[in-house]
Amino acid sequence: MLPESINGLWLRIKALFRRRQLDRDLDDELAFHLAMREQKLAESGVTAEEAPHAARRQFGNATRAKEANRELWTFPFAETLWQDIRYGVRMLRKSPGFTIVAIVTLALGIGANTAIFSMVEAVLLRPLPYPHGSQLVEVSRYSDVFDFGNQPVSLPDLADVRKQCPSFERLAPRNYEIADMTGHGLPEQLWAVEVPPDFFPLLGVAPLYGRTFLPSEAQPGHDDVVILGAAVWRKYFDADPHVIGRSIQLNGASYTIIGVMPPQLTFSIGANLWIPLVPTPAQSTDRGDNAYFVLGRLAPGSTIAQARAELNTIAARLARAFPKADKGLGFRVRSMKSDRVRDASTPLLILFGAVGLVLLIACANVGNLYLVRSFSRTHELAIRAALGATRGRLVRQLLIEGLLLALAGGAAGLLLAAWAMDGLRSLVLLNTPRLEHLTIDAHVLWFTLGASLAAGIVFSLVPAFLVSRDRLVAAVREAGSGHEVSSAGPRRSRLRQLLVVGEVALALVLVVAAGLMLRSFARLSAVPLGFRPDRVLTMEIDFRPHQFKTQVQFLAYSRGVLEKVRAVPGVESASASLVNPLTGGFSEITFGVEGRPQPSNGQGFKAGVSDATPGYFRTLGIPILAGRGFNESDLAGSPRVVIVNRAFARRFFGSESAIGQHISSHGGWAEIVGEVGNVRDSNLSRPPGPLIYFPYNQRGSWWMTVLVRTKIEPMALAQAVKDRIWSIDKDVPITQVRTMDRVVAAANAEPRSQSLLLSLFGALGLGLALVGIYGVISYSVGCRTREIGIRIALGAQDADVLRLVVGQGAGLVLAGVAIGLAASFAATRLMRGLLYGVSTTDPFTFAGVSILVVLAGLAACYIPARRAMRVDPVTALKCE
Amino acid sequence: MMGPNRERTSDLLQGTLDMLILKTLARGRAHGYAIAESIHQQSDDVLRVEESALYPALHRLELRGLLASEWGVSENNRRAKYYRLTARGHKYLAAESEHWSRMTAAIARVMETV
Repeated sequence: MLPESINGLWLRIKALFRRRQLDRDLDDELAFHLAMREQKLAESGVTAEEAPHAARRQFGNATRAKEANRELWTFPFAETLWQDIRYGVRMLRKSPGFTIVAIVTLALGIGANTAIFSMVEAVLLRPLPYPHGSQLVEVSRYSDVFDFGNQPVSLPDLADVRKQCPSFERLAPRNYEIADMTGHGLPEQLWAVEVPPDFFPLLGVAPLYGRTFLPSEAQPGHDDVVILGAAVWRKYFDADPHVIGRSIQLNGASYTIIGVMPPQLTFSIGANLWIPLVPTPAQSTDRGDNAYFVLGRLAPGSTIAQARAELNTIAARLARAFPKADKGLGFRVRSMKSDRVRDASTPLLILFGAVGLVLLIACANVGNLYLVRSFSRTHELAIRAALGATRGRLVRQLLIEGLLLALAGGAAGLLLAAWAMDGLRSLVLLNTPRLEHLTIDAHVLWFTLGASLAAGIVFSLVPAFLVSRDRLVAAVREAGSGHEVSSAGPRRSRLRQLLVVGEVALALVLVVAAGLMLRSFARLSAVPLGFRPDRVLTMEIDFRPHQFKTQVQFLAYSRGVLEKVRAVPGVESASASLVNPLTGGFSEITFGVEGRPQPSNGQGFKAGVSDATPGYFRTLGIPILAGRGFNESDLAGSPRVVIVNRAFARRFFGSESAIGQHISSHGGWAEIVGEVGNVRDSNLSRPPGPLIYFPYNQRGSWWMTVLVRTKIEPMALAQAVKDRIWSIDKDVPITQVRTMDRVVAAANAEPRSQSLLLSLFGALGLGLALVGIYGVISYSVGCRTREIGIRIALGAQDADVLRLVVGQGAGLVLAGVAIGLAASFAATRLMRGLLYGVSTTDPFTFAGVSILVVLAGLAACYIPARRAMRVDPVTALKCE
Repeated sequence: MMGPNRERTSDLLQGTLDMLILKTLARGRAHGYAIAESIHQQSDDVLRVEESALYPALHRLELRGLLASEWGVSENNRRAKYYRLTARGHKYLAAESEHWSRMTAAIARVMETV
């Protein structure tokens, strides 16, 4: 049977390309038959006039026979489908206004969805680029006293986990070191990731070139080997495959390149390279040295939950055995993917939900237009029905036209999304992880196609549902009697009104979400920073221990740097610290307070810590509230002093003065000599916690963040400042050169982009809904011209007409607002984590947005209402 | 040709029309008109093929690969489509004839047992 059907298919395909020939053959064959029959009938005595008729009579229905033959030779379903498509294209081209509006509307909806979906795909959906990536986990510690987020692990604790936790197949620590690479032009600062030899086998990644570390290379003295990350390899070695065996200078020491890693290995922001982790004996045994990030691979069949349970047991055991180092610390285990995604999923999913609503509104709008169009096509459809088109065929026609529109809209939307992609990447969600892989890939294309088809089906089925043959037949009769308008019966206008109510409700939800986000952003922007960011230039200088033999040498150098910088024309003051506010880089120390018992948990008091040179508070504009700032005599060897912030003073001394009190840390007592204002340390939304400032020149460090207050635009001085610093030592890397305003903007970037996008979607949704209201009211005015004309003729004033038209719209808008408010109460709860200083049911926002939507809705009704007022009763009555 | 009688025969012949066509063509190639006339005459004027049904049946058989067709010139110098059996058509006819003989014999036996 199968070969036969293939034979037939082949013949039919051949016939496809000889369509005209086929038609002629079919005609000829039947004509020949009839001719033969006529001839025979004539021979048997039938007259010449009668013969053709008799022949036809005997033959039966020749047209049907020919049709039946033709269907055998062709692909009737596909061909009528093609007919319908061509017909659909023709119909769409005949009404370009409708077509363009529909396509643009859909393009906006689908384009926004495509863009956001591409982000969701890149960040949340795409699997990690490692084999069995779902088995990879990050293990970290956390304090159950203070929430300082995930903290690294100490090596001896990790060794215990390795021994006692069967859920893990492998565990590998890693440590980030800054490596100054010299010998390639300007000194470059890179991240060197220190890893043990089994790190790469754990990930399951093979090097692009060369090999990974050997166990012997994790021994002291044999660890002068380096593996390049793909970015470093491309940037500094021109992607040369023969780089293996060459040596490079890192932190003044020579390393041999043994391998190059593929680009998907991203373990740091920016370029990185890999060196062997060779812990010192002290590092291997010090349980307090929580310095190592830990990557694990779960054993086959093990789950994160099992690992977590085992780790909890181990944490309890460690806390009992080593209370000094491990008490109050738990283990946290998270899949590597969720670790990478961090908190990005909530904002992304909310944005995705928002664009979903935009698309729904767009569909309702196009559905509405499509419905109106199907009214005006009732006559055409009715005639097709009368000529024998089945209901299925008519529904198919409507569906095909809908899908054509949706696909065109989808294609336009895709272009829109591709165009928006660069903007999204650079401007929006700067801090979102994994966004560097943002592309329109096959998954995104499938999504767009799916969204387009779904949208097309949704909006075209609405009118298709209302097509019934009986009603169409009635419509033809009515059309004949000139009452076409009534065919747009009450059921249809009810449906249109429902669509508009739905649109308004959805738009209200969107605008409420945008409003909340904007309010939150405004609150965040108005947060008192605690310092004056204007006209401050900042940059970081990194030194490695090998550059200076002693702390004294380093401090002499750093003092020299500040003196040189102060001498630059246009500089008002210059000072140094360890880290900048708002960058989250403050570390934390444990300390005691004189005359106070230790807290009962045995942990000591904790506070954030920073360092400051003399003049630091003046440079940043942080007010000194009591006591003094640091001065040039606060040096190593002189009496130890600290300055605390207001939050510290309030927390530990209440209404007493903090000045003159003593705290213990770093193995000695220090006197509090000053109290300064709070600054936002880690980010804008977190209220400032207690913070201790140590004198930069007394405590000693190897790090320098330079702060320069300028008299002119700060970036204009950047080069001069760098040149002065390099005039002392031209090999020091200077990084993070930016103004303090930029630092503040970066801290604000995420809420800004979120509120920007939500506002955009809110505006889009509201705009579409307004077009929807306008369309419905306008159409209804068109249908009621005669009625309005009569009313005016009977004495109705402008105000009456206005009330009539706007009243109809107001009902719809108010219903939509009521439903939308209820939906918003339910929906905005999802935004809790994103909002700062605004409740998810903020009455101000809810009320304000409702008023806005009602006013905008009424405005949309007003335009058709004005047209109604201008109806000339004489013309209206005559035009029937 | 018309009337209740025709309806019954056409029902009966719907399945056997294919077989009759194949049988007719087993004697050599022929055009549609000749096939219809031949069946009519061979059956002593009992069977009359509904002509409008003949052509779809021919085309169906051709698409199934049991018949092949070619255009030729008829006895009265007109362009006509000639059909002939393919190898597969021959095989199919043999199988169908045997099936048919067994069926009619069985039906005859049943009808005679009264």
